[in-house]
This record gives sequence, structure tokens and C-alpha cells, in this order.
Amino acid sequence: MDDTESTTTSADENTGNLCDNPTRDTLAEGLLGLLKPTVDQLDDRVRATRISQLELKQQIESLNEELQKVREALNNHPDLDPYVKKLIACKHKVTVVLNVLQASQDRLNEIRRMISKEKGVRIAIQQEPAPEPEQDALEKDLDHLKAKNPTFCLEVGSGSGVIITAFGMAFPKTFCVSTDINFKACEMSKATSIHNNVQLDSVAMDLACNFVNHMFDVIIFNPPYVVTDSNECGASDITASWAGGLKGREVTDRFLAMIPKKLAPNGVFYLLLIEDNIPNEVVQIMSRYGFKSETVIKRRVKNEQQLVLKFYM
Amino acid sequence: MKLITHNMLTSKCLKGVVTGYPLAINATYVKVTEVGFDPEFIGRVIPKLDWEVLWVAADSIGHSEGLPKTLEPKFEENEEFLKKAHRVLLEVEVEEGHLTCPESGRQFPISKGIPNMLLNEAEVQ
Repeated sequence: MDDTESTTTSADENTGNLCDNPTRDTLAEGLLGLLKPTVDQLDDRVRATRISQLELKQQIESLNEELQKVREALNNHPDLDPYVKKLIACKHKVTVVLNVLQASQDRLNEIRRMISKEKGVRIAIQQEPAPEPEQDALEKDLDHLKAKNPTFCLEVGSGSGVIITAFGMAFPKTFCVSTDINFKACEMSKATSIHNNVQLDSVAMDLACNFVNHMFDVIIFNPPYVVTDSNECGASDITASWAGGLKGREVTDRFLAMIPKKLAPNGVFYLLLIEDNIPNEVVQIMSRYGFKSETVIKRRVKNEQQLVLKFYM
Repeated sequence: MKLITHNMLTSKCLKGVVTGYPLAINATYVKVTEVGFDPEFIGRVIPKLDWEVLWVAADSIGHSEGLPKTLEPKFEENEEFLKKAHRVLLEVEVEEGHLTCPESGRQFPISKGIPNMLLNEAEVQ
């Protein structure tokens, strides 16, 4: 009974004096002490979560702003259309300009090519200072030639064609033929003759190799007479207009051997040489073929002592 | 190339070719230009040429009409004939085409009225 009473008493005590029960306080404090770090921790976490949520909210807001801007930008995009069109138009214009420039460039290249070609021909003319003296030589010999009334005249290595054209002008009753190892020179010779109303046929060949024998009443040769290495001689480009190889005579000597066959009976052969070519040797070679010789003219041109020799039977 | 020039051309400098004459003409473009007629010159030129070769050449490019195959005596007094000869000798020109060596068949191009008879070293006798 006591026990029950006491239990009741103690239960009464427990419920009756809740405030001033030291044991309970201690217990509560203990519990509190036990829970506090966890609660604090929870508290902290909640605070952190709130802070991060706040941040998230800000982020979302700014994102929303961005999205708004994007939407605005997206809504504005039809405004870009004219600019895009302008850009495309610009692109077209640039392409057109590029094409025009390309075409101009091509034409410029073409012109440059033609200029260098022209220059080549000019150089050829300059390096054959022969035209002047040879024309003079022919003029000096005009009466003699006129009396012969030549039917066919051949110029070998006519280059620009100035000599044969001048001849054709002086001898309108002679049919003129020219050869050159360079096809472009043949074109040039022909153009020069046409320009001066002279009847001329031009054939690309080596010397006079492709003509039947004993055809020409007059043969004119202004050879490549510059003394050079042998290997420099024998091309068909612009060097062919001046490179004469050994003694500047390699091409000349090859042609001298053809003269007896190519010249018509009573034909005359005019040859331009410089002193370096040792003209006496040429005279000797020709006399072995049965030709007489005569110096038509001797003259100093620039640094060259030039002479025109005439050979006949 | 006028037919007067064709009359003088040969390919005999080709290796293995004996006469190389006359060269056959294949013309893709023939030009006719008027040239002043000089009967004295034509009369003087004809005896120096091979008339038969000239006739065949003129025929091969379609310009032999009215041209006699063989020379008649005293042709130099026949102005009608001299005019026809003048035409085929000086006025008719082969501008484009080629010449062919009768022995080797080697072709030589004609362009811008200029026959190109150039050979490479291996082709020369």
C-alpha cells in the first residue's frame, strides 16, 4: 500500500510541482543539452537552405530577366531581316567586285605578257642593229639588184621583219619569203609586211632547209653573230636572235654550206657580220664554194664594227 | 601561205625522206585577198615553178576551176590565163590547215597563214 501510495505520491509530486522540481530541470537541461547541437545544426541548415533559396530566387529572377531579354530579342528578330538582306546584297557586290578584279587581273597579266613579248621583239631588233646598215647596204647596191630584176627574195631569220619588208618596198616586183626558227618572229614579220603593204609569206623553219633548190635570186641573212658559248647557241627562243656560238659563226657557217644549193643561178647572197666573226674566213669558205665576194658597207654601230658582205658567182 | 610558197616547200630534210615534194595540202580555212595584178611578174614567175604541183595544190583547196592542167605555149601572152594564175599564186592563201610529207606522212601545221616546218633533232637527217 505504501508503495502504491508512495508511487501515487511521487506521481502527484511529479505532476503537481512541475515548475520547481529540480530533478526534472536537470533532466530537461540534460535533454536540452543533448538536443541543442542537433537543433542548432538543423537551425543552421535551415538558415543556409533559406539563404541558398534566396540566392536561387535571385538567380531565377536574373535568369528570368535574361529569358525576358532573349524573348524580346527573339520577338525583335524580324527587324534583323533587312540587315541580313543588306549583308547578302553586300556579299553579292563583293563577289561581283571580286570577279571584276579577277578579270582585270587576268587582263593585266595578258597585257604584261604582251608587253614582255613586245619587249622581246624590241630587244631582238636592238640586238640586231643590222636593219639600218643592211638597209643602207641594200640601198647602195640597189641599182645592181634592180638590173637583175629578182623574182624571189628570201630572208633567213627575219625576226621583226623590218629588213625583208624594206626590201619588199624597194622591190615591188619581187616575191618575198622569210623564215625564222621562232614562230612568233614569223608572225611578227608577217604583221610588219602587212602593215607596210608588202606581199610576204613567212614560214617557220630552220634556216632555209625546207625550200627546193636554186629558187632564190636574193638571199639576205642577218645571223646571230654574237660570240657566245657553243651550248648557248641552237635554241629557238630569243637567244636564237643573237647567240652565234664559237666566233659567233656557228649558225652562219651552217648556212654558208646551204648557199650554193639555195641560190638561183646568178643569185646574190647578202650577209651581215661583225669583225669578231673573222670575215676573211667567211670570204675564204665562200670562195671554196665558187663565190666572189665584195664588202658592200663597213660601219661602226655602237660598239660593233659591222660589215655587209655580198657573195655572187 | 600562198600557193607560190607551197610550190617551193619540201620536207626532204626529214630523216629517210628522199624528195619530200610536193607536200599535200589539207586546208581548213582558205582566204582570198585581192592583190594588184602584174602580168609581167606572173609571166616571169610561172617558168620558175612546177605548174603541175601548183595545179594539184589549187585543186586540193578547191581553186582549180578554169586553170589548165598543163601549161600551153605562149601562156605569157594569154592575159585571161595570167589572171587566173595570178589568183591562185598570190590571192588564194591557206590560213589554217596542215601540209603532209608525201613519203613519211609527217604533218606540218599551218596556223595564221604560217606553215610550221620546224623539226625536232631526232627527225633531222
